[in-house]
Amino acid sequence: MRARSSLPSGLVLCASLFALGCPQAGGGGGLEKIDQSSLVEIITSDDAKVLDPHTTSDGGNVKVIVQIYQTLVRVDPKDFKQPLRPELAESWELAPDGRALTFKIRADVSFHDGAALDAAACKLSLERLLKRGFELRTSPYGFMFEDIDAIEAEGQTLTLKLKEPVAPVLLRSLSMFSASIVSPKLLEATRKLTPDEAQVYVTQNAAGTGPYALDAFDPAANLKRLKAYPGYWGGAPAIQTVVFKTVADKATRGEYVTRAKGVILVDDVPRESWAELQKSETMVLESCWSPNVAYLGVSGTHENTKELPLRRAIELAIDRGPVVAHYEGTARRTYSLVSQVMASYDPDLRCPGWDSDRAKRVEAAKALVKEAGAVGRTLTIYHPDQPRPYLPAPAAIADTIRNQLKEIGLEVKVQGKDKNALFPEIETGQYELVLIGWTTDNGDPDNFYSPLADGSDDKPSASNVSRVFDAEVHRQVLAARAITDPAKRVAAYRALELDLQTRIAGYVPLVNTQTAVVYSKALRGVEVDGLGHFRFHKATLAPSAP
Amino acid sequence: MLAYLTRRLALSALILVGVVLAVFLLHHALPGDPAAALLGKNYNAAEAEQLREGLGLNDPLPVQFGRYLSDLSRGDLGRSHVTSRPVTRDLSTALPATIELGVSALLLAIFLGVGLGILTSLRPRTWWDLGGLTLALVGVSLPIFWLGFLAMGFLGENGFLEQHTGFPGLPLGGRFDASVWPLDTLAGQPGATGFLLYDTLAVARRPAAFWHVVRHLILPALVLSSVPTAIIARITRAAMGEVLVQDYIRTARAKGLRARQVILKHALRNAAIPIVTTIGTQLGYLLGGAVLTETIFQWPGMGHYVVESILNSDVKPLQACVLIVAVSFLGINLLVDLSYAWLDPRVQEGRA
Repeated sequence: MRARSSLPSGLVLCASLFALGCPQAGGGGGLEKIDQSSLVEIITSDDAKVLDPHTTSDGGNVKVIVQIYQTLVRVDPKDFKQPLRPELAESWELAPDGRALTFKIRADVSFHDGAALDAAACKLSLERLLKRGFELRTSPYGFMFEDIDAIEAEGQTLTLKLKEPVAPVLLRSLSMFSASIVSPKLLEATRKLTPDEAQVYVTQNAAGTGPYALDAFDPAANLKRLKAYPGYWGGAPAIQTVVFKTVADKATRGEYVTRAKGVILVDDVPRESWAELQKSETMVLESCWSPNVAYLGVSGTHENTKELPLRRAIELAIDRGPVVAHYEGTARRTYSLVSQVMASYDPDLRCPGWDSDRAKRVEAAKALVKEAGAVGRTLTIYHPDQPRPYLPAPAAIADTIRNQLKEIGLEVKVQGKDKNALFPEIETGQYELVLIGWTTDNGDPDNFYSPLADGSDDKPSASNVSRVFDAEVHRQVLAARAITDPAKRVAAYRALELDLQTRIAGYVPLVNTQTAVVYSKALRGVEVDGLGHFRFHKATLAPSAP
Repeated sequence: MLAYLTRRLALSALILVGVVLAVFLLHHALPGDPAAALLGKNYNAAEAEQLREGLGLNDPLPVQFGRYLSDLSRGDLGRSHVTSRPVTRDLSTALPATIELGVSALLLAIFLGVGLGILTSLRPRTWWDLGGLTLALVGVSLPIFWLGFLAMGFLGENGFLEQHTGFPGLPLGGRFDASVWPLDTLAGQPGATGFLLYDTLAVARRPAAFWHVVRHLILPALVLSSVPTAIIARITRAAMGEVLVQDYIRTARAKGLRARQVILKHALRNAAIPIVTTIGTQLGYLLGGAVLTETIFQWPGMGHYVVESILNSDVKPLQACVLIVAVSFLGINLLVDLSYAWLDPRVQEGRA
């Protein structure tokens, strides 16, 4: 009896010990272990759920999409100021009237499903992006390609006829993940499906021209596994398997950095741990300047902030130093709407009335507040209630700004908002001050000024936080788009920026931030860019790696 | 017994109707706009309006409710706004994951909690009792996320145990490691259930893969079991404490019955009702989504699915999860009530 009574606990103990120490050897049954000698595990903060490049805007999806799909052209991953690089297009030329772009498409490229790349395949993808001949539930970036009037394909020659002469901007937009070229076989198969079914079909059967093909994908199981595509036109990748694992909690991601045994790459590493990671003997921290910028948006139409002197007073009163301190040395103060990695960024630009002595600026700002009749006025700063890449501590940063505005006689309240509630409220102008940020998707200054400062039909765009539509600004934005000479474009955008700060004063640019990934020292040749993407087509593993 | 069962079933059906209505109204109470969540920084009113129209969110409430009921009657829980995938497809992965974790944690909690409860009740007001009570208090009080990181640091990969004994540490998260075993390929095989403990052994017949799954289960199950273990231990101690001083226990001992028989057959069965109620309630909570545990250990279960749905204002998965949790609670409570009738026949006669 006594012996029987101890049996269950004995079994549990044995099972536990066995589980803890059991070697993971293979058995029978057709389920083979994955080769560990050529594998990288990616620990990401945000999940990939949709691999249809035409229907998504989510950053987590894009990290996987860029491994599978490619675009006609690419921006330089390290330097947005450099000219575009060819990718699936070998070369391109602009018609003398600026209304047609002709691409020569590479002839040696095949999709993961065996289809060949030609101009017709490119045409099909761009038409789907524009919802022409395809029914999509949404195309979040489709609006950036609406200037394409007609698409012509013949053999390996693709011609885009444009409604307006906006080739410089459009070319940059064609480098975005959303303009990925998807297998025509795959897209043709979606024609009979509903928009929902089509998105799932493209996701589950993703077939691009990139170095990695989809091997397994189940968003509900946190499963994303890619395998090297041996027929990749740029040469078969050396690393055979890439596995994405989503770890949303930043402390748990930190555990992976210190404990994981295999070769890993971890993104969205908390800024407070960068300094320590730079000293690590096993990991490499690679950081680069991101094109994102954090702003304090000031509504130009709200009853409490509509006076220009008040908005200019706020601009003068903000001291970027204490704001930058919230970024653990991974950001720098900025004074322009565009990021410092952009060609049009003017390092000498300061708002009107600027004085390097803050005490004098505060005095000038006080006078402007008085001129606006706003002394003692109560304003509210909205901020996203969750950290954003450009706002690691939104509430604390808002609090810093609140204290600075108090010095010029303004009472400021701070209020966090769900990000899904914040954007619709911005569009309807239901705010006075808002902490927000922006990052470019295509590396062109127009991708800052057009959404953030312009609009259409005499109305500001949804992202225009100043809520001001100004006809002169609109004219300047349209004119700058059509300029093909790089130096003249830079000059046009710098003039536009100065005009915005003088006449609208709807933004106080705060900081430009860095982005970083951490990876095992055994991993070499990984390509990291400022948009937070990483690519492995040229990466190798050191011989000592498992 | 039949009348009792009918009464309980009728009551459950009534509650279910209320639950369905509440679940449908849920998304109107949630902050955020599904269209804004989908469009992100490219949000604009026209595109958002088109999306809402496509998702049927602009229809009058009764029309939406009618469509919801009609879909529900066909077992259609809708599609995720974010992924467009049918919710039933996602749940076919998430539900087995949560059940596997929840049941493992509960079995662990029953084993440890009842054992600790009996042990402390047999030695009241001793160091054993004080130690057991303290342990239970610690179990209830420790924040799960803290316990999770403690467990990782001690038992996890490259943790204290591994560094000091060389014993291989446990995986830091996930249900399995997609970079080691392609267990996803099991999903298409005949007989696969989504319960990986079963599938790896019975379908794939791969003991090594089974142990791989067990190793992934240990840390989250251990952490998740902490609170139910503590609660079950306290309830067991209290219930056993009341029973052990009864005359019939003294009689049983006087009759010369072995201590084991007295405790397990006479005392524990009579103390069982509150313990079973507690176990039932705990199972409901565990299946309802061990949100924190699943987040810390990246366990792709219902809790994780619910959190993602809330963050993305994804209504259909959220409605489905709340409905499943509510139905689970109803089912578990029904089973618990029926077990009362088995444990104490006076219940079905309405005398208890």
